[in-house]
Amino acid sequence: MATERAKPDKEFLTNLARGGFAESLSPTHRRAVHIETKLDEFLDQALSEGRQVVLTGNPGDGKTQHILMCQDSYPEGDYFYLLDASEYADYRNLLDEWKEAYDAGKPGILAINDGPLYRMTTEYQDEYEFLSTVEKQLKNQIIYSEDDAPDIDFDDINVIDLNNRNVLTHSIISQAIRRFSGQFAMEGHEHSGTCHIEYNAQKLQQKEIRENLIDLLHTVGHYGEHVTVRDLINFLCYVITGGKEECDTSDNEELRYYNLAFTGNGLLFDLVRRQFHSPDLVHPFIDSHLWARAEQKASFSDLDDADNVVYPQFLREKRRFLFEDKAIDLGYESRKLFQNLEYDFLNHRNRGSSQGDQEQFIRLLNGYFRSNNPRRSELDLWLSHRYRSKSSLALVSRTSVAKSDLVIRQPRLHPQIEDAINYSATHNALEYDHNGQPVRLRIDSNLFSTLSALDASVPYTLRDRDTEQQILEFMQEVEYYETYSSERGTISVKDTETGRIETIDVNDEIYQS
Amino acid sequence: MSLKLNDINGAASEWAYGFKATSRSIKPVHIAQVIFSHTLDESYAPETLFKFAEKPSKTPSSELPDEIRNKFEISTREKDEDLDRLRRTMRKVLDNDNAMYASQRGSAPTCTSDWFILNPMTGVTVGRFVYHLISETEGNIERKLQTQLSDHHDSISLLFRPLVIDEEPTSPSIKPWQEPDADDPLEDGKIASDLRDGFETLGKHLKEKQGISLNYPRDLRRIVKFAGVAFYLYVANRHNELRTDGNDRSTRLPIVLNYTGERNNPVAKASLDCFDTVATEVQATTRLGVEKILDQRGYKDDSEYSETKILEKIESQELLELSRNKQSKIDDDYETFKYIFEGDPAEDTFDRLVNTVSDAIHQSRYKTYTPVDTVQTFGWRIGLLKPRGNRANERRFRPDPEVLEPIVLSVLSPDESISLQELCERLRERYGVIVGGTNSDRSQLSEWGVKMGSSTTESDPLSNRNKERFKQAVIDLGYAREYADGVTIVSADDR
Repeated sequence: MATERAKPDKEFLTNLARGGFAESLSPTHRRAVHIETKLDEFLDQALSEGRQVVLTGNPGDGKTQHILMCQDSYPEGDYFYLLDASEYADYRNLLDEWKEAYDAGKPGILAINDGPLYRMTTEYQDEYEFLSTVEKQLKNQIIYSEDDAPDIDFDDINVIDLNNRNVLTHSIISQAIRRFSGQFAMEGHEHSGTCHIEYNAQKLQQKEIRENLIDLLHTVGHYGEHVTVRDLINFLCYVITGGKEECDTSDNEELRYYNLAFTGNGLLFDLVRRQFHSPDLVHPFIDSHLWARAEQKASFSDLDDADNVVYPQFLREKRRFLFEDKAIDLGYESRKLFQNLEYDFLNHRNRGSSQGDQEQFIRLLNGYFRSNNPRRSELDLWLSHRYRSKSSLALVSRTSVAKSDLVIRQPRLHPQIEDAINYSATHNALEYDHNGQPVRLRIDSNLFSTLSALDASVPYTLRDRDTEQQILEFMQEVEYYETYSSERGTISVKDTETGRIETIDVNDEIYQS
Repeated sequence: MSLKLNDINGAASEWAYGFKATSRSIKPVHIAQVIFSHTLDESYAPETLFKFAEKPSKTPSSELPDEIRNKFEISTREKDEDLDRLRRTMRKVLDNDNAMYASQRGSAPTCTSDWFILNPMTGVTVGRFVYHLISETEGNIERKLQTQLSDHHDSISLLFRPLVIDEEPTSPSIKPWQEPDADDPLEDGKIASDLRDGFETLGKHLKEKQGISLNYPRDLRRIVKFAGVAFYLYVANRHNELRTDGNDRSTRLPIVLNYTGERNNPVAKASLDCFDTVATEVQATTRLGVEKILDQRGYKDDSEYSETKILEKIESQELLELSRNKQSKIDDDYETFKYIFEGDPAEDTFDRLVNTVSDAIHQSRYKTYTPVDTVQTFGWRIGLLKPRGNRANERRFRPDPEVLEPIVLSVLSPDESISLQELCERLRERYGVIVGGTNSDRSQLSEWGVKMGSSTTESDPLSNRNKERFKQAVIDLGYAREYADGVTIVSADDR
């Protein structure tokens, strides 16, 4: 292990705020910024047990960082490392080296972005047998049940797709905030007064503010976008420095962390802005108080200009309130705003595999097409059929499937790699299984909120057509596998313009009503 | 012999396409009816069903024949009112394609099985062309269609069973498609052969029988949607395949799909340009056809149709056969025709006459349904063009997901995994469909005179934003997955 003393400084922090990454860091800095996760332990164990680990994913997922960190304890030569697959113009050269190491039983870590890795597995599998195992693992990172997990050999090679890693966990965010608001930010200042970097770092070191930031970032993780470690580091470093290396002691409010959190460029900033502008974050009590505070602070002479002057101030007030609710003291905690967001969906997602939740979801689906249909024991199947490009005038249903044929599945990591990374499912799935051929309806927050809105009496005519199409496609797939009488049954016809449903029994050649 | 513009229009269309593309009322369901009836070699004439489906305002339930009323065991006292209500709702199922008319002639009920297949009157020759493409494949589609259509387990078939069960199938007027006089459109290199291959590939994706039945009407829609696209692309590309003036292009007519979601950017403008180019090309095809037909009918004869004699026939109102009753309208029609003829710049008299007839065909005052109107109206009805509706203008190519899906499946074998770029390449080469992302997009557009301007805000809006959103559309369909380093793999396996 190197004993070199870390020399972190605000210049380095600013560089990270501008998008710096592991390959360009000095070993000292790399070790200093490393955020410990489950993956460190997994890699340590894999290397010591003689396995090869393929880290795949997107740029910024931390693949190179992990390899460089491991090289301290597991030196190159004894171990096989691949830092950058893109350096190989011909994949055969890479694969030859890999095969040689694999055949020699040499453990190691390979960082290969998922695109190139997919290409290798499809184009070169015939020549390199071990790619078959890699492909199987790559395709089965996420499973819906133990039975669903195919029998794959994990003895020699482990593929870890970091696209599935959730970095917006309490532990990782908390560790990162402490890391970057600590000595990195606070050292190397040679000026009087408090500059913007010191101010922001000091604020983030306060427990209440830090916890609110963690809550905010944790919540945006529910949008289902893949946030990388690099995204998180860039975000935090920008929130502290504003991308400005020179210390600014002018007390410029635009450089305060609560404004910087909403003004940077990058995925995490986009998500935070999306969250901030969510209608769910509007709160009549809080917003009216904050508007009143903004009016007091803003100076305007003409009432017609008031909104233009007050609104920017209101934004700053609200941003600050999200983190400094205790200091502003409106008698309301900002985290309660976050926690209300998508509560029903998250609750469903987290508990979704119980029988009660399965029945609840069946009820929601039935209620989508037939309001006040409280049936939980079976799911009605509806058919929409037309050849023109316009919404159906009518939907038809003739049958239902018993709840025993349906199950709610929660996606999870394959058991062999579940200790490697944190995974947060963005959806559940309603699954119909026909002789081992599952048909799944993806229950994400969008579908759930559409169904819940109708359940809360939002008119059917305001439905989201894409969501409806998704449901109908699932139902058609299920109907394909079911067998029905061609002579009798109960048919319901829904007039989609009026919402009226007519139901009639067909019994051979007679209608009965 | 006087000229009947509608006849010339129809004959010109048949010469060029092998069918009459001269009906604005043609709808996707009409093509469905023709394909299905030809596949099954039978159709129905469900009088009972049509009587039942009449609007209660026209035929109240109390006036329905007993044979229909007795099929309903309705226990309430207000049986007629209940039946009226039920009929109105059930009619919507049959009329989901907006093609149920007061008379059966031309009607085409929305169909999921053979019970609803009528002997169609509308779009019959167009349907025969599409059926010909299908019948030229190895037979997968026909076999699956037959199984699907003879299955009665779906909810719509069961719903109408009591009203159709007693009907006996009859033999429809099955006729093979007549190849156009102009050429053989299925020769290698022509778009019809690529469309036939597209059907072949699409057929491999359709579901097989499950147990005793094949209850998956979605596959019917996939076939009909692709049939609609095939009709559009075939008509659009014919001029280039038929022209003999040495100006033919080496590529398909470009169809830029506008996925930008906007109307005012270079991609949207190019898409609009393509729409206009389709109109220009189809009109030019009509001119080629008119030239052939007028020649066949002796209008090249100088002794009978010199400039002076033509003008004399116009003056004496002998040249045209007009379906007009009012003399003032006939006068106006001749006046307009004369105006076009005299203003045409062609030196040769026959060319001037051809140009004049072709231009007149495309003027609404002569009440001819032009191939341009036919194909563009059909384009929005099938879901290829947006906005839809009769009164919309400035249409651009933006297919519904239900249309994009069979297009993608028609170039992608079930066991294939290809890159997004390869998908874009296949769509461009085979169908002229351009979304961005291939090296030849711009040269193809340029060859056809379609301008792809530059954007002040984007470096390459076609290959960037448009292609990205197209990619997302394919991902949303479940046929693509995005990986790092710009790799997107398209596969039917991913669903």
